[in-house]
Amino acid sequence: MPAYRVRYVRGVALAVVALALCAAAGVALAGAPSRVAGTINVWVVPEGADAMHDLAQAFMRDYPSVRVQVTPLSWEILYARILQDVSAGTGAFDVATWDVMTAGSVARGMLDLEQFGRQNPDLILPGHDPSDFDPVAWRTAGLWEGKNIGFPFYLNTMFLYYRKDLFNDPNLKSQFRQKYGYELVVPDTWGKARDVSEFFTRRNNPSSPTEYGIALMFPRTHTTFYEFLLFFGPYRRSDAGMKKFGPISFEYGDYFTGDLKPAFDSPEGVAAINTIKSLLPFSPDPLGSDYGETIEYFARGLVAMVPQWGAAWASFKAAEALQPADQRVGVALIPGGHSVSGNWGLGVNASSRNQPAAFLFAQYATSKVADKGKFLKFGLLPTRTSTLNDPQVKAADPRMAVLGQIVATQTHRPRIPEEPRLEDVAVGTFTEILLGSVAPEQGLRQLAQEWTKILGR
Amino acid sequence: MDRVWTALRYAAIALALVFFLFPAYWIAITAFKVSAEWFTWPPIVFPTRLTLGNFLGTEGGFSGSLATAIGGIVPYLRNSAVVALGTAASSTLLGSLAAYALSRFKVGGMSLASWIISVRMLPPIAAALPVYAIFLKLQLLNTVWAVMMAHLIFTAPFATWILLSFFNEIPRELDEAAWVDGASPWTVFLRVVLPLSAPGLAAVASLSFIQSWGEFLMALVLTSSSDAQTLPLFLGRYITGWRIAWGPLAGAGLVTMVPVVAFSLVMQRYLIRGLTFGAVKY
Repeated sequence: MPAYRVRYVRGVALAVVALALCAAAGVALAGAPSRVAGTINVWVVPEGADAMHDLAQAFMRDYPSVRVQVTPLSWEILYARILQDVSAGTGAFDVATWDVMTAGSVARGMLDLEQFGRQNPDLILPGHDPSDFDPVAWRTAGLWEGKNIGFPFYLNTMFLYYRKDLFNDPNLKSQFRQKYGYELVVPDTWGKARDVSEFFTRRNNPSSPTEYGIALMFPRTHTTFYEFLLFFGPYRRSDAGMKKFGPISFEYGDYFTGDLKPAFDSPEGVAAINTIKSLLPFSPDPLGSDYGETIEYFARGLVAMVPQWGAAWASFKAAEALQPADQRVGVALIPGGHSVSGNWGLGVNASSRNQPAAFLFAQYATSKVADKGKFLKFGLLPTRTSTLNDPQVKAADPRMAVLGQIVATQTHRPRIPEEPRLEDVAVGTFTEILLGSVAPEQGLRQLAQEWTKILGR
Repeated sequence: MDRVWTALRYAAIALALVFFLFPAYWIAITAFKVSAEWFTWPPIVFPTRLTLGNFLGTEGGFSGSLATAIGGIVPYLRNSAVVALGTAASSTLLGSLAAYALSRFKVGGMSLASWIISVRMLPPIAAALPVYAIFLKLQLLNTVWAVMMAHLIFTAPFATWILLSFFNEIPRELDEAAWVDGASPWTVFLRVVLPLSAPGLAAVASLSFIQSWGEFLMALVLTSSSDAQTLPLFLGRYITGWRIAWGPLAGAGLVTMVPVVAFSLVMQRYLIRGLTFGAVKY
């Protein structure tokens, strides 16, 4: 072979090697295969928007070939739009947060992340470790009938927020003891909550420092559907309740018996309704207030207690009337000991045209680092066991002291595809019962019949 | 007695003004209230503490800005402006052409005119799904064009109907005089009918703009990101799980309101009727 040819072949070979090395270096720098590129559209519920935006900025720094567009959509819009895209399969979003009780409805439009990860091992983020997620969070915000439809994005559950300063006031404590014959403490049953609410309602007790005892929300919206479980849960989950109604299905939740019949068409359901009715006189506009209003009542110092979602802590921490918040605001278990789950998952659209980047971002936004960061910076409750046990996390926030206990004992709404229809008729019936236009027994019986019809049983 | 009547008249006017202007005042003032005064009982009608924090995201002690400030409003404002101006211009153009054909050449007779206005009676949700399917096939979803065309479904028939009544009021003798001078139907339309219908065109453009600016359902169904979403969708972000951010919501509401008011004020001068009076002496 002539010398010039040898030189030529060597040159070509060197060029090929150099190109291969550059490509490898590029992949290493980017930290992901070259197919992770383009734009992904992330739909997020507003309370998670700032955290998601923050995560998107960090992700784009680490993966410059991807552009992440964060689109906040209010709860009502988000659910409707996800359902629309699930039906049409247009890929309008690539990644979306979904509410726990919409799991059954959205599942068919979500990518099976476990399967996708198996098929694309190069896209699995080192250390993402799904086994680190809290088991309840994983079960409710990660799975639907065995399919991995999302990664838990943040925990959401209800707490009892109370006026710590008032409950510790010696004068009020002695007044309460005189009137009710026992100590003024944070109520652990709804019966005691009724006494405390009455005591802190100025109409019943002119010396009460607050206008009302408790802020309840039973509007004609989905709110009433989950609020009922705070009162029915203690019956459904008691030893007697478990014996009578049977085990609880994660898919059907506490509204149902073990053999999937409505459990509330029972003396326990009636008792729960009557408990709610007994508390209504001690709450400002209970049938006209939703979570926005009840948060404001407590934040303004109008009420002594409010059962509210975890996210409300951010409002109370910042409320002018509750400063210093660490001395004035306490966080406890819901009376009766059973909260209700409202966790959020982060799923990838099965119709996404950019699944590799979407899958990578979903892992990134639910990683250990992200889980801790979301909590410390934006107050979103963590979903990972490692974060829940982190000393810095535990010390950061009074919610953390009771969160573990709450998550283990919380009730669940149905997550089945028929949930919106069940909820719709339930809310109407509950409202009529609470207004007094229908007797509890009759209303709950009719509701159970309607549910049976909807479920085709 | 006259004084009493005058006083009563002014009192009635003042009452009507308060009734109609108070909501606008309330949005404007809430946009500048500190967070402690957003939601109080009794409500604070004349706040003494004012802040720009609702616009900047510094009011209320929350981290971040997406759901606490109005910083992200610009793309939505741009989309709304493009969609509303495009809708106003297109519906005025389409409406004037259709109305001229109906008025002067009786195309389709009263049946067609009645059918056109009947489209206005269609509930928007009935059109939303077919429109979604069509734009899906055309690959126009999540574009301002899709939203604009969807808005035309409702604004164009309305524009046609309004302009039809305007054109009918313009004496046909003016058209005939122009024909005698050798004008074509197009020339008559452009040089005679349109100038005399300026108030009608202004009214149609204004009303189409306002309708498009505030439309929610079609924008919701046809868009999925800030590339095409409009202001009514943007406002939903302030209703969060930790509070309803009344201050930033009012701030964004104010930004949403101002362009409509400005557009209406600009168009107002064209809305003066009576330009055709005296054009024909009987």
